[in-house]
Amino acid sequence: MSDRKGIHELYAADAAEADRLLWNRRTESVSRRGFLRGSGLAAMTAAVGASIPFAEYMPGGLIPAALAQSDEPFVLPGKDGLTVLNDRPINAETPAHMLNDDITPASRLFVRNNGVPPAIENSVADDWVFEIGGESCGTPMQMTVGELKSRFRQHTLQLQIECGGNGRSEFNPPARGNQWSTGAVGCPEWTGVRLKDVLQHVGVKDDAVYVAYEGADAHLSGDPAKQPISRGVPLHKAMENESLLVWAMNGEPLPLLHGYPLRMICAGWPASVSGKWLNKLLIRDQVHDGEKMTGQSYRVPCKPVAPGTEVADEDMCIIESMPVKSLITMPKSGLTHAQSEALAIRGHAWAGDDAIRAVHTSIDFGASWQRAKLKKAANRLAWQHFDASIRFPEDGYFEVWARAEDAKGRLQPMVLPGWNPRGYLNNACHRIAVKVTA
Amino acid sequence: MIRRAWLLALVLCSATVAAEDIDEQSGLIKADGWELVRIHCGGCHSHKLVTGQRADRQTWLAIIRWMQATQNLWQFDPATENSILDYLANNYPPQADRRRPPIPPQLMPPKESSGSR
Repeated sequence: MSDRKGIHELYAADAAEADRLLWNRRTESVSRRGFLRGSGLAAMTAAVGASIPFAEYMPGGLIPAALAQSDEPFVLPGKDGLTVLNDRPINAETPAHMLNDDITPASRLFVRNNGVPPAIENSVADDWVFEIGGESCGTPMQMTVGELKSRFRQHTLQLQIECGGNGRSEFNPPARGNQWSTGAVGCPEWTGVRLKDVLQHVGVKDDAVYVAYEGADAHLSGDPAKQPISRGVPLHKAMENESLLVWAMNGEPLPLLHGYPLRMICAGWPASVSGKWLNKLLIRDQVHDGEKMTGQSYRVPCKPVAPGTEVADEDMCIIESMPVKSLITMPKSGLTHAQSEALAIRGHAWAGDDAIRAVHTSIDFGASWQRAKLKKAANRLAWQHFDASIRFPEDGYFEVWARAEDAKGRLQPMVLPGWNPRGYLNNACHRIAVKVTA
Repeated sequence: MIRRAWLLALVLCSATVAAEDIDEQSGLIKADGWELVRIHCGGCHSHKLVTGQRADRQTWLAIIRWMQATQNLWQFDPATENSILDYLANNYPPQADRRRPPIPPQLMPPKESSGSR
């Protein structure tokens, strides 16, 4: 709890920068008037719970009074109830019960930044230029978002993205990094073009191995020579129908925190492969060696190790598909429930590159399991929804556990899966606590 | 850097454990109050019952109250009781190295208001 930052702390460090990060509000240098437009104004309006008629006169760097009243752990404006784990870089996760929507709204999608989001004018949109190059690129070129839209067929897909470190907080010995609990996952609807259409347009040489991104975000140290993150996927993953270059999320332009104006989406793999603020696409003739591809980042021991083991870099392997997982999103854990009533539960399940075959629930700590109703995916790599109606045999303390099974028959473990130095891939089954009353 | 600090902390921790003075006869950690525990607890049962147990202060007190109510353990004066509890809670605290932690407190149902346990 102590590492959660309050809004005051963020503003105390650099008010103008906090403005820019939270609301995309820029302070005009002469009048000190804050300029708040578009999604930033909408975000602040949502955060204070009322419209702000005189927003244009609000000085830059001023914390809205409605938020300044509170010393509570601060939730990110425009993000409906997310828990902020870190404010530099901004990282925030969504409590399980707030992920109940079939399609995750922007307000409830986790935020994972490795660097400082770039200052990008809201008006840039179609004029955003990005480069395509790399050793194995047939014809290196520049392209705009507008050209992407006009040259290639557009696709709209529901695709789940999950941070590789989601669930890290449960590992012991503790792993360093943002201490995500369960909320660094979501499944919005994205609109863009297939990465493979773009790759085929520029030409992919026979020796191509990897497709990588570079983004416009800045390194935390401010050193322009350093990149905060530059990752990618093997060519076969990039060539899948669901690997996209997107400019819209849920029918709206991408929010700044989610990569406006252009990002990659390669669903089912650690979300760090889905680069934001994309300004360079690289077709590499080797496994990409950008920032956070090497060393221990987004890697797990190639062979299982005992908890606490130190593992040499050369024995760490890159994470590819994420494992099978599920989340109970209704009701919120900690409820009191009358024994006479059936308890309706709901949630989502997903399995990296795979589909979900079944979801089971247990109210006796895994001694017996009951099959839940499971819906088909809206499209490949979308999460699937399950629901169940649960009756309790007596009053007392119960936990409802959910356990998903992927198309290959792999199950979620009930205890933590294999310990790894950076605490990735925790797919232990989700649990909610219920006090059943007579 | 952070990693190095963490490793250093690990090393320091294990160094403290290794350097802990253990009473050979009882197996008790020789820290403030250990002799009180040796005298008051070792009369009836092995000290292994103490050294094999991990509990927070409240649970240690509950164990003492249970022994007083049912096992003929005598009453302590408040100062002695405090010293014993300090020793037990500091030297034999709950261990956090579980395979999976319980559901966190903020996601648990409200506690019973009346003392019905």
